[in-house]
Amino acid sequence: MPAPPLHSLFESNDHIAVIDGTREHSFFGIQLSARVLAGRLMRLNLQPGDRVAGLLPNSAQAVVAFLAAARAGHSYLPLNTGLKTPELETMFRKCRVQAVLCSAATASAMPDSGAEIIPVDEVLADTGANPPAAKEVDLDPDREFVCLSTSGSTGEPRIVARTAGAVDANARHVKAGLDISADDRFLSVVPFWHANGFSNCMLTPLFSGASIITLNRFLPRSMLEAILEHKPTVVVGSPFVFQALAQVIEPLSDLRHVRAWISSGAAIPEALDARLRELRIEVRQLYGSSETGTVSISSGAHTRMGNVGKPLDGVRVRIIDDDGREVPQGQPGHVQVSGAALYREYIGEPGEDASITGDGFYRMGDLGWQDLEGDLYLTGRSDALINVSGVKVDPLEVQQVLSSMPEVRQSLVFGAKDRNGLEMIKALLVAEGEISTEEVLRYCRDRLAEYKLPRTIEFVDEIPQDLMGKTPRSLLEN
Amino acid sequence: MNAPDETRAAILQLMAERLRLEDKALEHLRANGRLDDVTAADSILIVELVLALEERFDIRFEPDDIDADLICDLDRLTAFVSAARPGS
Repeated sequence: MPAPPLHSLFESNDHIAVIDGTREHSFFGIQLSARVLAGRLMRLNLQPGDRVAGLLPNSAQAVVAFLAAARAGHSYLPLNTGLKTPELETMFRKCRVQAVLCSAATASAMPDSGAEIIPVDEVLADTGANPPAAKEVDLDPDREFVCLSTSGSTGEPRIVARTAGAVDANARHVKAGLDISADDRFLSVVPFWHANGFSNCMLTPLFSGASIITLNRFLPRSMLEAILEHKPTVVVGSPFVFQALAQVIEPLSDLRHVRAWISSGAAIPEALDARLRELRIEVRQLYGSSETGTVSISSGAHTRMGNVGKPLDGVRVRIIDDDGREVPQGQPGHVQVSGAALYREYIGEPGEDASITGDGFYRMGDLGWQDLEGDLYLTGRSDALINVSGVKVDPLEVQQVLSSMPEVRQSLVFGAKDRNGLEMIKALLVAEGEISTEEVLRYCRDRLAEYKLPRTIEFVDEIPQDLMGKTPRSLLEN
Repeated sequence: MNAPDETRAAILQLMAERLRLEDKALEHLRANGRLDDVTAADSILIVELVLALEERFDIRFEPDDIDADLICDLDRLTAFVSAARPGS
């Protein structure tokens, strides 16, 4: 009889699970802490399947929080610790969050939503706490196991629900795709609230018995020191992370212990790729989404830009034209993905899901093509999401906040390239009377996480629009 | 100009160059001392500035040194850089 999905997540042994600063935590220690925290959750008398949010930086506690929620039979929603109160309120309401696992320092900042606030560090510091007897974890493949936030194009964040079966499928795909074993050590600065950070940098290593090196803040020199000290075999980042690392890595640094450098979230610019190769770093591009899990990982060999590799075993990719017909290999179109790792639903969005085709393919929102060998190449987005160092921002969400300012008559938010070729958020505002940039930023800062704020705000007399009320992309690019 | 003033002026110039601040924004920053009044201070900006400051002043930021307020508060940042500079 096959083992239930994800059973290996709950195994206990002396192997190192997490290196958090200077502390090493074994799988035994992590699982014991998770049982203690799960016991705390179980005393709340929540129902199986209730949702528990986690607001913790990348750390051993973040790993424990996730395992505890899973052990207690709940669905886990990792959230960005930088979210502001209105954003958290939206998330908690939409997901009907029943409990929040956070740090003692942030507990008082949680919105008053009725959810039970549990400071993880205080629970685990109680050395008198006895873990409940280990009970079998519900690993029904159809059980909702995790919820991940993503950006929609509707002005409000979306949350995808993924089953244990789907999460297991993704872990298996990535484990096989990267040939991960218990001998691997993952170092990633991708936040664990992000789909890639959660699924590929935390869950998949745990699933595979590998070790995770956590850094709760990204500073290039500190990350480089951690790479040289802890000798990870897999390093995961975004184009921005690699851009910054390239500025501090000495040309003769011995980094041969890293067998896989993985970048996700956006394409590595060509100039950065060339610079990294001079440093003997071949970056592999990982492609996926909150909805699909990981779709593909490139080989890293010098190939055409835009290459994101062949779909992982178990993942099906097709390219569709504007009329919904599959195109021959070599021709461009809209990328669609299917497989066992697909999400189940968007939480709080009843009715038909327009993102899924009638035959079960998810519309990625990306444009691309496949070559005769099956390698996938991405050529752009078909929607307007802004990609801020691998995190998608819905310009409509930012625009709605700006437009809610009484002093703003009209606003337009879009992505603009910075001097390194990476996308930043820019806003054009037509103001009623006098208003300053600082007033705008202060207003937005009360309502939006910092990464959603415009890097540049320009006050204009009018925002050019065509007859359809849209601002042509060509005008924005100029 | 004394040393902290020189440091403050150098930091302002570095911010203006790296972040391409317009004259009005730079003027506000010079007068009010808050970077987050004129731009989003997300983690990307923080890292960009940290790298630039480390290179310009031959100093080193540790993760525990960093909070968003240190980077955004010009007075605090000037004090930090002044204390961390070699020979200080």
